[in-house]
Amino acid sequence: MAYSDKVIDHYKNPRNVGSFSKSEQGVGTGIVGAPECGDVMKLQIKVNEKTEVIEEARFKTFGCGSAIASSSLITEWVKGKSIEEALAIKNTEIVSELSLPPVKIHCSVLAEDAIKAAIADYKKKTDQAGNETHGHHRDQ
Amino acid sequence: MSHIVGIDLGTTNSLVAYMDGRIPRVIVGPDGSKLVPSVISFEDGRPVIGERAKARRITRVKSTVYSVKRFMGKGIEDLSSDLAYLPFHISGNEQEIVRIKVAERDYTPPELSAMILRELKTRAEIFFGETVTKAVITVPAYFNDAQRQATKDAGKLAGLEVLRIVNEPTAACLAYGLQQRHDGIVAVYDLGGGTFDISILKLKDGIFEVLSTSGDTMLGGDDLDYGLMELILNEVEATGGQGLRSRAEVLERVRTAAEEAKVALSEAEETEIVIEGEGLGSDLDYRRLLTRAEFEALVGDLVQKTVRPCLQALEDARLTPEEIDEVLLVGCSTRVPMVRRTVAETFGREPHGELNPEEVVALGAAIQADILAGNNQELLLLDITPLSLGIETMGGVVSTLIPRNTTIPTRATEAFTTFLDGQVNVEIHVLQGERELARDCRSLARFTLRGIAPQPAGVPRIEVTFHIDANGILDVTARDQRSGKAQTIEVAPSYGLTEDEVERMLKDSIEHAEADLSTRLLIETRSEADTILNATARALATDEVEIPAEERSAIEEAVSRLEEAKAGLDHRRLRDEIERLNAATRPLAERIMDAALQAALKDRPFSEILDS
Amino acid sequence: MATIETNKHTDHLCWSCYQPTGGKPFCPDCATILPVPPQSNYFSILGLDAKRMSLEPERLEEAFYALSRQVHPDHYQSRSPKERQIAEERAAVVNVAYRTLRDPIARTEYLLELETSSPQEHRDQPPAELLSQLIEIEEIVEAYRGSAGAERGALKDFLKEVHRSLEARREATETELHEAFELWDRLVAEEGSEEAKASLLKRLRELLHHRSYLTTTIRDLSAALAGEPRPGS
Repeated sequence: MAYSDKVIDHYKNPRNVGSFSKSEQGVGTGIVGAPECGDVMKLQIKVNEKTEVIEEARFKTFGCGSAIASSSLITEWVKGKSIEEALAIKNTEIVSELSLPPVKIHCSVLAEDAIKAAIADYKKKTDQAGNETHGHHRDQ
Repeated sequence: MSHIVGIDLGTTNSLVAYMDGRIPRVIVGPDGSKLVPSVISFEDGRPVIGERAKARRITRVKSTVYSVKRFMGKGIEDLSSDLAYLPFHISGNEQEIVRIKVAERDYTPPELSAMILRELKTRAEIFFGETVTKAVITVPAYFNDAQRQATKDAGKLAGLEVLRIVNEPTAACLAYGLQQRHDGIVAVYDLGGGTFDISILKLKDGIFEVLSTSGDTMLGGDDLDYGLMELILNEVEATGGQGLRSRAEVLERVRTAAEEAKVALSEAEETEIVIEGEGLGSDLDYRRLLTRAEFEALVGDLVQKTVRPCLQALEDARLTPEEIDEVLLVGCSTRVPMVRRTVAETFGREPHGELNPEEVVALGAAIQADILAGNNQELLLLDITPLSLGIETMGGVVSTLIPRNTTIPTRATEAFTTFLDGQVNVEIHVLQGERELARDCRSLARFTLRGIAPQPAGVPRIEVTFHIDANGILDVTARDQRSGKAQTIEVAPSYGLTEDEVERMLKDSIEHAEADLSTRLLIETRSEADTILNATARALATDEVEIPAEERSAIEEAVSRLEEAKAGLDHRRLRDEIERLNAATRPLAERIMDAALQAALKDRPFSEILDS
Repeated sequence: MATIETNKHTDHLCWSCYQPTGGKPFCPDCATILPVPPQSNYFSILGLDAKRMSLEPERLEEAFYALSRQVHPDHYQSRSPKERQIAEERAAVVNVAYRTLRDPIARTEYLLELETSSPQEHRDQPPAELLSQLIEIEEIVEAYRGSAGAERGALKDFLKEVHRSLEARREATETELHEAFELWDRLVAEEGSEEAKASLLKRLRELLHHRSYLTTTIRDLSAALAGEPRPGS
């Protein structure tokens, strides 16, 4: 079960921990929190502005750290996806027999919220950039 | 109503107490002592417990075991500090109950503790002249769930229904409160043979509310001994002693010497340690003068280790040292002057010194037994759980459901969800401890909730409920709200015995049945012995018949042998001695009967005598 | 309102003598201990006014001790298993109720739980500005952990100052919380409008959230300044 192995691996060795410079071209930053345990998460995506494909993603969490495994998995998952695909994070129909520890309810949504916030930030930034260049339309 | 006894099952000594009306008292054994050394030695396959076993520590190293409390609820990986200094052979895999080899057989710690409990039970039964089946047993407040369960199992194996597991410092405070009867905040500093506890309580109108507790279940008088043993061993090695540490007899002699020196230094400023060369397998005796200052330099760090838990307990109770009205000292190791000094410095006051630190816990247990028996509605103990309890969540982080210092009984429920889409199984890993990561906490149990309705990740609601009863013992339920699938376990800890094992041990233990029977026999035989001893005393005092000196001395010897046998616990020997005294007094008894008959005949008509 | 309804279900008849109980801990007829009614809340269990937020610790303790004397399982050891079980459960609820209500933060969380039908409905906008500030501080903390020499000294002084100011902000939320309690009690007493209540509840929730985020960063900061590893790592 490759899927399971991958999950376990993210659980043990979280990937994509870190950050990009906010001012960098094509970077969208999402900052979200889970007040239940005071978790704060920053998730960033780096988007190819021509293709609107997410090329890289990075995250950092502060607080109880329970969201790390799911953040690692989701940042891996969004790489190579278009921002539209990433927004429509959909549930695959895999029935998993894997017995894993449970997740705090608020942690389960944190990474997803963060992706959405990062994409919103990216769009806001590119729109502003568009406005600043006097309504220059990007190539499709 | 049958008696409920209070038992202090200690690392070094154990005691059993009862309520004499409104006053708690420790039961004095047939040997005249209140303390039963927690030592077990096997003699012809039968366990002997207490002083007699203690005397065999050096002569019968391989058949004798002690400090069993330190192994309760532990895995082999927890015991590294002890293994170097204890002469036992201990086996067990990781995450498994340890086994201690004594007299060529493996025993689990609860089985060995049960032997001590049985001895105490017998003492109480002899004292009351009836069977005792219910008890309150004390444990260190900082004992975790596994250690508490192990203690409960030991009680069961000893044929006792354990009505309540009570924390030692709390019990001590009950005894203090009963005696002093004034309200206020009390800190109980309990440094025993193997464990350290600090508890802070609020006393108000008969309510004893435990505010906080902290401690270390691997810190006690034994550790002070280890420090001193290390010094002695190093010095013997420096003078050419070889391979000492692997020889059980040597370790045992060194240990005894260390212990004696420690005790002596509580009174004296210096003491001489002498170990004969024979005991060390050497031509030279080991001889050394040890001053109190040297001893304190050796064990200072250990004593200092008790300070941090004290500060933690104060912080958790949101109190400053100035707000503490009284500090109680409990446990044999508080006799060490440096310990007393450290307590005084930490709390900024001299500790209360009027209690007998070795008896007060057992007395408190007896009071709690009395409360449970319904005889005391005035006092009420509100105890707490010493350690936080939670489950592991994805990422290896512990999610706490019940924080430490929560008043028990208590209950907590929290909803969790799945990590994967369509995940149908969730693993519930129950943990106890204060660290954030699961791997740093004590694993209590693991089980899998299966059959969760498959749904996208994050959608299922899995309710986890923890319930801690008044004994501080936990059960956990996990339930999928959608499918209604639920699973409950009374946490059978990773290091404990399963219920089946306990049952099997009970069944297997023919000794157990025999012990119960022999207790009953002992009680009956003792009362028979009393009857014959009384009759003999009367007969010897008579002036109606002559008793030749030879006969008198034979009878007197039989009397003293019987009295000696009566002080012991062997009903067979007692029976033999009764027979011996019977035989010795038979001619005398016959002569007395004759004399009485003749006297009766002299004064009365024959017919009257025939009629009577 | 989550209060006790009487005589509606069999739950409110005594399990022993089948007389109505009126939601009391003991049957008024036969004095048997009764299970906690499903509709009760921590305020009613401790015999306090419904949802009163300004509470005197002494009064709370008195109520807790008095109830404990009545329901603690120690006093039910020689009763029937059913009574013993009810006492265990009741004592557990009394303990949890006391623990919850004596702590202002837990008390507020509990009020919000009672007043909010589902927490999901009230997923507030995260306080973006605060979170950004805290992330920035956390990143400086990371830099401090990896720093050396003169830079380390300067960062340390700076972080100490940050620590002080965050502590002050957290204390301020607590003061505000107590002010909000008084407002709330007045609103309940004077039967204020639902809108006013809803807006005050929202304020309470925000205060709790801010406090919770501040606590995370204060904890990370304290650990770094004390030279300890980041909590949880």
